Order: sequence, then structure tokens, then C-alpha cells
Amino acid sequence: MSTDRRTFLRQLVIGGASVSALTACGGEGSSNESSQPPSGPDLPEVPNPETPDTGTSEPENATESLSFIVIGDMGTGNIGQYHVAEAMRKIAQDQGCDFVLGAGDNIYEDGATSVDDNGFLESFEYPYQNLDMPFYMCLGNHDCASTIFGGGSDNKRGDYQVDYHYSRQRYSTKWHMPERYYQQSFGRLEEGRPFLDLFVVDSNPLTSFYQDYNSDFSWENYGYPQQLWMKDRVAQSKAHWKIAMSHVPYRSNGKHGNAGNLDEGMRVLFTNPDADGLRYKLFLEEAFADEIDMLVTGHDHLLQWIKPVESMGAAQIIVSGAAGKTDKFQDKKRNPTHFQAENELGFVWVNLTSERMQVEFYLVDEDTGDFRLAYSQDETKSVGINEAMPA
Amino acid sequence: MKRREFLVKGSVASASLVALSACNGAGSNEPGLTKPDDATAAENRSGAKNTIEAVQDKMPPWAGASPFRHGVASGDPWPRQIILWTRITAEGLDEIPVIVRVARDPMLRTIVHEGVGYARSDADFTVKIDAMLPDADTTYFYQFECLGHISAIGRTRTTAHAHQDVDHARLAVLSCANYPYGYFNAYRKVAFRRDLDAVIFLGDYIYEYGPGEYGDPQVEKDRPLDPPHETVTLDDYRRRYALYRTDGDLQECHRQHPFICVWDDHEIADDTWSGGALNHNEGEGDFADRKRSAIKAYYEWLPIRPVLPDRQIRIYRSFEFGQLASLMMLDTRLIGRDQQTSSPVEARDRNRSLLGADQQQWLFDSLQQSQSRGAQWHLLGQQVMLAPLTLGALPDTPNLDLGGGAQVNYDQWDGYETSRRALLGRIEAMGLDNTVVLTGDIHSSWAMDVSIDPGNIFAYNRFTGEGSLAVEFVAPAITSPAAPTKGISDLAKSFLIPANPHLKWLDFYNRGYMVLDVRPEHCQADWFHLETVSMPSNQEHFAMAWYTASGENHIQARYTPSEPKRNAPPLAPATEEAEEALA
Repeated sequence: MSTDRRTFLRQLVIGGASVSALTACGGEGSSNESSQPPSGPDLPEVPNPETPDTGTSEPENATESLSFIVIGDMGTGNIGQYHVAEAMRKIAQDQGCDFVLGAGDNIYEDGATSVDDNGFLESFEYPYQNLDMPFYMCLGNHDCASTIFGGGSDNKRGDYQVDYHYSRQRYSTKWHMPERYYQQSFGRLEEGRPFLDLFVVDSNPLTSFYQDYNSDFSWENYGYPQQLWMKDRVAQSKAHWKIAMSHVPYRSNGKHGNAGNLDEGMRVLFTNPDADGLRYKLFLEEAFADEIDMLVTGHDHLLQWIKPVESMGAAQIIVSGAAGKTDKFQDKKRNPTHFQAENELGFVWVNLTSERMQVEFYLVDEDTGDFRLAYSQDETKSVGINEAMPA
Repeated sequence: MKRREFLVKGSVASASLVALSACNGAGSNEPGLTKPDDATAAENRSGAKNTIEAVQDKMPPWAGASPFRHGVASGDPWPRQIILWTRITAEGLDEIPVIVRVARDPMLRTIVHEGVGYARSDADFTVKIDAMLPDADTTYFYQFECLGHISAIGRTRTTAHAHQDVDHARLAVLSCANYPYGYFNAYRKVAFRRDLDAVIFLGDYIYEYGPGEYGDPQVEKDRPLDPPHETVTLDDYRRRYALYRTDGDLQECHRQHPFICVWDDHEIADDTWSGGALNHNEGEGDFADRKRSAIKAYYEWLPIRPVLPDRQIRIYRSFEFGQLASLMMLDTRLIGRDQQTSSPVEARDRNRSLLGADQQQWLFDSLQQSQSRGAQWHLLGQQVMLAPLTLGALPDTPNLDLGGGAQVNYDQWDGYETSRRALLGRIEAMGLDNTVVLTGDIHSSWAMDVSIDPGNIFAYNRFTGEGSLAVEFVAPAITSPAAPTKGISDLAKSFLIPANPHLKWLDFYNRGYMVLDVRPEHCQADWFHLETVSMPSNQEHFAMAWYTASGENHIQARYTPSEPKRNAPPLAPATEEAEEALA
């Protein structure tokens, strides 16, 4: 890595963990019990006066670059998670990192059962203590599970992770989950367009292994409204880059597999008829296909960069589910990849500039904490920029 | 001619017809306001003779018989636009100008539109004019003129604007007309129903077979097939349509009502899918060529409006009958269907599709749009049965890929379990009430609830209908047969109804048609069955009615047909007088 670039990147690093993004538009309020329809125009984008998004000397400049790390399935609280966190810290220090995306299963094995649950400390605050940057979190099946099997039948439990976002007693201000599903903007360009919009999906109610009999989380009351909200928000977004994050994969070569045919073989044990993700697959395609540049998920404890597939347009498909647990491939050739790794912990570092994305995969030794760059590749941006709506 | 006083700026080029029509539509409905000398002025300005009169002057000389041998037709009604169709039979001529006039009254006194089309050899001398008309939800009458002859007077009707309140719509639902299997008595009966808004045709408008392959030998003697072999080439398909269109009953039905058509398999070949057909073999050449020919002939001969000008294979499209109903017409046959299977395991393959990804997405978007705009009913016009047909239904377990019933016809949605789950799953997720599925293909009459899991007493209650997401009405064939005797039909019925909890009624024996009566409070299907199709007959009887009350999503029996509309507009006058030459 050249010194020039490091200097360049350092200028762009966001100052602290308290940086909040310009707009935080949540999904349907499950934390505040309001049932107002989640659609509506974007909130006006108000820059946060405390922490200008470009950080340092020239706050009025347009964002030229953002870096972030993607982790998933991390919340074990084990030494492996600490080793990954330390590797992340070093990469953040050397290459820059503005924020972290947490792709779900934040607190093993069965989520948090109160806003002051020890899990927030043991699986999040302590391991990431030395990472001073915001974490944008997504709910996973274990965050909504009532047993260690991660059946995902207690979606209500995920609300505590939203509550933690608003808690005044929390250990740090890193944890960001303003709603169960939400949109988050980063950086800004001329005309006030965001540099990046992040769309976070709550996939557990759509795909859980076991049925949640709480009708608040049925497809009619939750899944489809979320789908309409997401589709609408993505379509309205004028951001230069668009990234979607969800826990359950759209495509994966691990045991959970591809949406539409999730958990083939294991599914016989499940009670939820939606466990194969047929409707979830269409959700993702309808909301994101041909709109987003990257789709990041976790759930399979692997690292994969799956090549774009026609049904999702040009989006790069990243599975980062090895920040706390590891697993092996089930079918290495199920989806063509640029890179994939099994049985090792790790994370993904991404740098976005106006025309290109650089994606790097780091593998971390669970016992020693040694880490190495396993794969790095540049991609030119290929998804068109949304034109402003004609008057 | 008196008619000529109503001339407006005509156009020889069909491309500028839209402008002409728009002018008519937006302008006054009073034809008297358009002065005859407007035409002259236009002529002088342009130097070209851009008038109907000029077109008439340019008519090639013709001493033969009336060229309107295949009747007139209309279709794909929109609020202010409708396809008008005819065909010109005049050997030795090509590029023949054809004039059409549309009026508010059956005597064609108040002309509201005039247009010109051309009969060309490259479209088999068929002519389609997409006429712009002044008013929505209105009955119009039309007539073509060509080579010194005038056609029979046709009758058609525009739909209501999407936002318009409509308290009553009536649609005939037809399918499966096999020429050598019987007389088209059903078309004749439908033609006489003057209160219909449109005729929905769900496919199998022609059959591709050669003589003796699929017909009633007694009938076929008097109704021989042309061409006298299976249809494979473009010329074959054209000749087959031409044969059907010489049938007086079919002509009369087209003449009186606008049609909304989709194809099923026999417009191409038996059990067609996107890449082939059961009734297609290598000796018959490349299937892609055959498909292309069949589609081209279909567009030439049916009054259908292309959805995309350069992609005729796309016929899935939607119509709106005011706030009362949206009608989505599907293609479960050609555009996206994976090959049929006979394996129940493969039928559940998650990669199989009946509609194809694009059409499925379009359908889901259309359902959402229909729900958002507040349409009372969401009608799906399509070919093959959506509800399962089983020899015994068990609870379905998608995670085990087991249960659901012993299905018997994998050409239906039963062979595409993933597509069915996606559609019903979407209806469930949307909380969409009042979906009514209209089906053809199977030559019999059925009334069913549509549940995602009819064999599961926790998911669907066969006694109350609770758990049903939609309803399905299946239209009988016009002539194609199912059970050879009433006894066999009753036997099948007595077995199938207990075996299929969602199935409420069926009739395997009778040919006929369905009338769909749509009101804000109900959507009711009346089945009318014919006495015979073995000979021309005017006899029909009301067989049964099933309806779904608004918001109920399950069917109930009714033993009387729905009430017709009062004060329905008159039918177009009989053809004899109208067909005289202009001399």
C-alpha cells in the first residue's frame, strides 16, 4: 500500500464513532409500536453539524472515497472474535475504515433479552472496544431466536437490539440499528446526493427455520410492508453507490445455500414453509435488482465473493459470515466466485471511490490471531447512477 | 354519398392515423362541425390527397365479389381506443386501402371516427386499425369499406376509465373451439347477449391437427379442415385461421363484441412450452420457426394489440373496467414455461417456472397496482388450472417436498409448484382480497376455492371456505370434448369432489361458456351449457352459478343466473342489407 494513498485515505477517515450518517430512515417502527405506514418521501438530508462527513480539513468538499469493513456472524464473545477485531483494527489503521457493517448474528446464540443484556457487552462492546467507528448492524436469525439452535421464531426479541441503539446506558455509541430495517446515507456529493446509501433488511421474519406465531411478523403484516418500503426507498435513492445488507444469503456456497432453496436437506426439520426463501428471493430481486452495486450477507460462516448473477443485475455479492464462527463449503461450485474461503475466520474490507470499488478479503487465524490478505480485486462501477426525477 | 359529408382530414399514411383519430377524439363529437371543404383545404395545402375521398378515388378497380369474406372483429378495448379488424379477399391485388367508419348508432349516422388501413400480403391481407374514440364505457358501431364494397356492421365497446365508478360489468368467458369437433353454437349464443362488455377468450381458438386426428367424424364430414394436414408453416396457420373465420357463428360473435384473447397451446401445437411441444417432432422442422409462424398468424387474425411493437411473443397485458375490476391476461404457455414433467418430484423443482421471471414480476406489480388503485376485483385470465387437481389431497409440507396431493395433470400449475407458491404467497402477503382466476384449456366446467394448502384442515376448511385466498372458475369448451357421456362425467365428479376439498362443482360432459357477472358486492360465474354441438342448435340451458361475495375469497352456490344489464345497447343489425355493394 503506497504512502500516497494512505495519506489520501487518512484525510477521508471519519473522525469518530459518534459520526452518524446524514439520514437515518428507519423501517416500520417495531421499537416504538407505531404502525404508521413506512413509506414516504426521504427526509431532507441535514448534515450533522458535530461531525462533518468528510472529517478533516475541507468539510465542504464532496466525498471522494469511503472505506468500510464487513463482518458477519461475529457475536460469539470468543477469542476468535477478539482476534478478528484486532486484525480489523490494524487494517483500519493502515488503510482507513469509516464504519463497519455487521451482517447479523450479533449476539450468539439466542440474542438479547433486554436492553442491558450482557450479550451487548460480551459479544459486541468488549471485542470491538478498540475500534472507534460506527457499526451498522443487521438482525440475524440468532438475534431473533429463543433457543441456541437459532430457529428465529422469536422475532420480537430483535427489538432489544433496536432499543440498544437508543439506550443512554450503553457502553459506547458504536451500535447503530435505528430500526429493524432501515436506510442509512453516507458522505455527500454535489447537489446534496449521498455518496453511499445502505439498505438494511430484516431477513429473519422472512426465512426463519421455525415459524414465529406472532402475527406482527407475518408476511402480510411485516414482510410485504418491508418489501414495499425497501423497493420504494431504493428506487428513490439518488446515492452514487447503493449497498444492501441482509443476514440470510441471496447466493451462497455454504450449507444455507441460495435463496429460493435455502437449507436444502436440513429444511426437513423446519416448520416455517417460507424456510426455503422463495418469497425472500423475490423480495431481494424486486427491491434491489439492477439498483444496487453490492449485496452483503452473512449466515453461512464463510467468506465468498460471488460473481454477479443476472437476476440481481450487476451487484457484487459478498458473503461475510466468518467473523466469529467458521464452517465448510457445501457445494463450492454452486455459484461462480471471484474468491471463497472456508474453515477460517475473517472479514472483508471495501474501499469505494467514485468510479471503482476495491474489495479485500482478510483471513484470521483463530488461535494465534495472525492475519493475511487473501484476495484483493478492483471492480469498476457498473450500475448506473439514478438520474434526478424529471419535474 | 351522405357519408362523405362527414369527411375529416384523412390520411393515406397509416402512421398519421393516430393524429387523425386524436383530432377526432379530442374534437367535437358533432360530425356536422367538420366542414367538407376542410378536406379540400388539406388537399391543397399538402399537395397530396390526404383524404378519405382521395383514398376512395385510389381504390383499385375490382369487379369481383365482396372482399369481406372473413367478417369483422374488434378487440383489446381501452377507454378510448379499440382494435378494429377485417380481412380483404381480392385475388391479384395488394396494398389495398381499407376505410373504416365508427359511429355511435347502429345505422352509422353519427360518425365519430374514420380511418384507413391497408390490406397487404405480408399480413395475409388482414387489416387492423387502432381507432381512437371519443368516449369511455360506450358502445360503438363500425363498418369497413373497400373495393366498392362495405362490410357487415360491427359493434364494439370501450372500457371505463380506471378511476370511473362502474357498478356492473359482464364478460363472457370462452375457450377451446375445435372446428371439426362440433358447431360453434356457443359463439352464436354469446353473440346474442347484448349486455356483455367484452368476450374473454382463454385460448385454443384454433387446433393444429390434421383431418381425422382430433374431431367428431360425423361433424368433420361437413366441416372439413383446411389445410388438410397439421398446421406447421405460416401459410398453414393462416389457412387454418381463415377456415375458422368463415364460420358464421364465430363471425357473428366477433361482429357483436370486442374480444380479449390469449393463446393456449393449440394455437401452436398440443402441450406447447417455451422451447417445444408434445405435438411437435423433428420432421416438422425447427420449433422456433413454427412458433414464430404461429405467433405471426395469431397477430394477423386476432384483434389483439401488440404490447411491445417488436416483441409479439409478449401477450400478457392488463385491462381496467373502471374501479370495478382489473383484468390481467397471462401467458402460461409460450413466453416462460419450462418443459412439462410427469414427475411429482420435478414438479416441485424450485428452478421451474410457468410464467418466467419477467411475466411473474409484471403480474405481481400489476396486482399491487390494482390493489393500490382500489380496484374491487382482480381478475386473472389465463389458460391452465391454478388450483390443484388431485386423486386425494394431503397437507402440503414444502420443507419436505411432500404432500399436497396426488396430482394428475402436470401441464397445469400442478407441474409448477414453485410458481404457484410464489403467486399464492404473494396474494397472501399482500392481503389481497377478491382475486378471481378464469381458466380454460380443460374442456370442462369447474368452480373452486384456491388455497395454498387445501388438503390441510388447519390451512383450509372445506365446509366454510376459510383459508381460501382466491377463487377459480373454469370455462367449458366451445366444442372440444371431455367425458364422452354424462354418466362418466358424474362418476368422475363423485370421486374428484371428495378427493379435492377445494373443488365444489364440476361438469365434464357439457360444452358451453361462462358469463362472469361483476358487481361491487359479488363476482359470479354463470355456466351455460349447450344441448349439442353435433349439429347447429340454438338450445342452451343455465347449468349452475357460483359466486364469491366481496371480501370472502371463497365460493358459494347460486341456483339462478345473474341478472342481465337493463337497457343494453342494440346489437349491430343483421348482415344481409349491409353487405350490398356500394354501386
